[in-house]
Amino acid sequence: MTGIELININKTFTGSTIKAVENFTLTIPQGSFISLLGPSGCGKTTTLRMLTGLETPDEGIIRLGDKVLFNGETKELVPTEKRGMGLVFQSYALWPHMTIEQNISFGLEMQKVPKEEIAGRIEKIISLLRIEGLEKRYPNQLSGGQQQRIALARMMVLNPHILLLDEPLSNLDAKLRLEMRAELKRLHRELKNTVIYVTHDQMEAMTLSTEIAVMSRGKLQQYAPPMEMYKKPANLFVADFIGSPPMNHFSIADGESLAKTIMPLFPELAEKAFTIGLRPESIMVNPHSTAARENFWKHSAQIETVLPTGSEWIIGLRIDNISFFALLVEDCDYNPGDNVKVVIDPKNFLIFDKEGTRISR
Amino acid sequence: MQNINLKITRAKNTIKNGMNDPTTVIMVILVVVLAYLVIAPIGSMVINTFTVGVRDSSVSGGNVGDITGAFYKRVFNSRVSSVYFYKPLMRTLFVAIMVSIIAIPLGGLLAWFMVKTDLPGKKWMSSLMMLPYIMPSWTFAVVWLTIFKNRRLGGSAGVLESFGFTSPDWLAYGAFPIIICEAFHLFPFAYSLFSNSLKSMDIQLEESARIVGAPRSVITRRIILPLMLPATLSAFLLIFTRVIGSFGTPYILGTGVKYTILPTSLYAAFRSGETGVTAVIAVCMILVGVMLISLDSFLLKDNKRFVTIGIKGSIQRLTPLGIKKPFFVSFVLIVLCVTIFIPLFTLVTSTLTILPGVLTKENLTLVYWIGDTLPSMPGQLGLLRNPDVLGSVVNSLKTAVAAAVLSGFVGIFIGYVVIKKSHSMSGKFLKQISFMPYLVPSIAFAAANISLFAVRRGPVPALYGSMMLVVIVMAVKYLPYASRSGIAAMMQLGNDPEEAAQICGAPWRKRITRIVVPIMKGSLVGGIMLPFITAMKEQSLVIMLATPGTELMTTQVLRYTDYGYMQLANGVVLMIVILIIVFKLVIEKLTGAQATSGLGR
Repeated sequence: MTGIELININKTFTGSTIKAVENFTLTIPQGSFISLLGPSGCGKTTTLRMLTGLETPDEGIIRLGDKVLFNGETKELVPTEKRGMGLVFQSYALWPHMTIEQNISFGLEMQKVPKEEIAGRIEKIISLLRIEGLEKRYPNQLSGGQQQRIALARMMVLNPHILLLDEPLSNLDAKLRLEMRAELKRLHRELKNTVIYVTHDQMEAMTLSTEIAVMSRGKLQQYAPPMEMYKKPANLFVADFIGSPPMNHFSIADGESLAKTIMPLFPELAEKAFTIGLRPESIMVNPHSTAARENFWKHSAQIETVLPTGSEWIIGLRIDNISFFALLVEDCDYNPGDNVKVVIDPKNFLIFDKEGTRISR
Repeated sequence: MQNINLKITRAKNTIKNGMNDPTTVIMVILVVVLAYLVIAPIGSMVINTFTVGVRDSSVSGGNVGDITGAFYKRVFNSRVSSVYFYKPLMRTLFVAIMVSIIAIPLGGLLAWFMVKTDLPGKKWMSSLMMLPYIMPSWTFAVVWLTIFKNRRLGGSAGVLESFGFTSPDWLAYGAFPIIICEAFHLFPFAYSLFSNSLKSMDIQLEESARIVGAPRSVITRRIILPLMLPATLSAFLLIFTRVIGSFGTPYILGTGVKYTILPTSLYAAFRSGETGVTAVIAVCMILVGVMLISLDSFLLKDNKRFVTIGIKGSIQRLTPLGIKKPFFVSFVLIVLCVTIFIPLFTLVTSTLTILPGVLTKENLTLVYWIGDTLPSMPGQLGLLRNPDVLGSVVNSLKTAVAAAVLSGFVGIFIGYVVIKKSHSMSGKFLKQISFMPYLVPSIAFAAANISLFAVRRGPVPALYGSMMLVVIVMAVKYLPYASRSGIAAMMQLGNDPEEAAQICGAPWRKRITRIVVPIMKGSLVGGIMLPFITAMKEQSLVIMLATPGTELMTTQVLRYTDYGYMQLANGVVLMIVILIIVFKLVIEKLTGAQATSGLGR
């Protein structure tokens, strides 16, 4: 069993008063694909670097299986070079003065793998990552996508139990990013190692991970599988951060009359409710009579904008005095100013209290 | 009990963790050594300004070690203060202002021609403008003396003298030639400031003005010139700093008529053994230097907010010179002729002619290079056979290489530590301290080091008079170049490549030898090359450190001008320039790196 355990990790950088990572606790089972997701500056890269030992926490315990990597109490610390993890940098950090082959073999040399074996392992990783023919070239002669694969190959050739990826796709163009995403998923399925993936791109996190850990301001907000994260966000931050177009929400104070029509559906929450949220795709616009059930919430609305994206329509709506975005997949021919009827399944309302914690089921 | 055990474990682990990453150890060593080599000399000199030294008692009275205000009084308020301080200060100001008045318009005008117009032959002209970077600053002074020298000083005659014209004193020595020579040396620096500024200026600023209907003359007057204001201020401060720091030119051209500016006044005080007075003048110079450079960096910061730089692929629109082209071309050619060709030509021919400048067949000679008796220079051998000259060549090369390699490597390590420890106080301190020598005028820094190393202090022996001291002082003085290039390179490199190696399991030693140093090779070459070139040309810093046993080529030049042996002086100058060029070419060939790419201020 070589799962990872982070217990109560705290880290403040020298010269800063803000905690980069605060009371962070996370258990990562072996073989999972975890994403650390959050806006820039939320502490996800710092967490990753503490896992590798490139950064030292101020407090807390990091364990790999039953081996202690760091203990804030005893100051026990296993240095990076002895942790046997793999890390792919956002910048790739290929060594510019070495050929691709030398880049890949460097780690094996450091582990004193015999020469004959090195050649075989390089060959294997090169075919696994489909980068044949680049061995004698230098990094600056490769495209971004190729460099990315080399950076991956350089770490994977070492067979690390744990592979850490720090925003590995953010420097690639959209098409290549999609390809590499599929590639990463394939590799994970084949190699079955634990992958920890840092990203600020919710789409990447949603599509790749078995579990997502959303962070904000150094704190863990929620740790859950992707769909659970989407459907049952722990708080307003998570709800807001995940989803595109983003979730609609309004405070009850701002949309008082609108809230008065919704809140009777949730009598038990009347006391604490502060913000009401609604995913764009859960707004039905002029639905067929079969789709709208008796107990659904109904209201009139006015179309403000119509934004076709090709595969779907993003419709700007005004319901009462609040603006919403709805996401429709079927063809529609609304024009700004049209009056429509909106229908919503009450279970799709997300209700948050004053602190932003979700209180609806 | 358990508590104590925990503490012991913690301490043990902390030490173990520290040993795993020697960056901290290196940082501590660098901080201690640099503090001693940068701060201690200045501190020791400040102490000298108010304590009676061994050779001082005739001025101050009292016993050695007593505290006294006599030196400040002597410099600022006594019979001799006008000679020691006020006159040199006023002259320094005067020279700096006059030099600026000549060099800034000249540099600015040339920059405009080269960057903004369709002047033909720009490429080789602009590469000629780089020449002053490898020529010693006082070359013009030596050439000037070669041409205009009159009988006031002994030794060989000037070129004009051999044509029957005796130049008046004002033309041969003092303020006028000093200003002209400094201006000729410095205008290319103003040129490069202006041309960089012009090149980085966003073309869209000009285009917007054209769109709203401004004619070209208005654009130049209302858009371009105001945007050049920061560069002008920078050029002025640069010239000021250089004039305060330059020793050779005022020494060669001013000493004969007792026209002293601050650096030569400091030297005179040092020569006459007035340690305390020397220290006071040096402290004043340092204060002025610090002031100038802080002002410059303050203005530069402002400048950044002022000009938007870096639009991708900005294309310069060139102003056609039209029918006036021949006029402008000849103007530029005349400038280049007067400032580059004539000096170089004089330098070369004077070493090949007996009556300087007379190019008749019977007057040509190689005697100054290989002869064994030289006309009117009793006891001297030709340059290539002269033990004094050859000795100085060896000394110069030895010290320059040692100092350059030392500061180059220290610079890289400073860059490494500063980037790795950028958050820590010591990292910031290290960065600051490695830049400090830049603020101190060379001759004042030398004076400070003499005051520190004149006697044995604790484990540090008295180094005055040794080659070692020359090397150390040079290496420290040039550290700002090397550490700037080291920090810039490390900044660009970032921590990632080293951390990637660490992830791959490489221990610290392997990371340094296999990753960091190989990647930094290019910048290391730059960090060595620039100090080397500067060291080969250095005069201000070494004039007080050189003793008969440690004579360098540059100080040898001064000895020869003192005697009036202009042919020999010129010969040594030529040798310096040739050695620099050869060294530069060889290094560039060997390493494939562009060594002068970091050249600048």
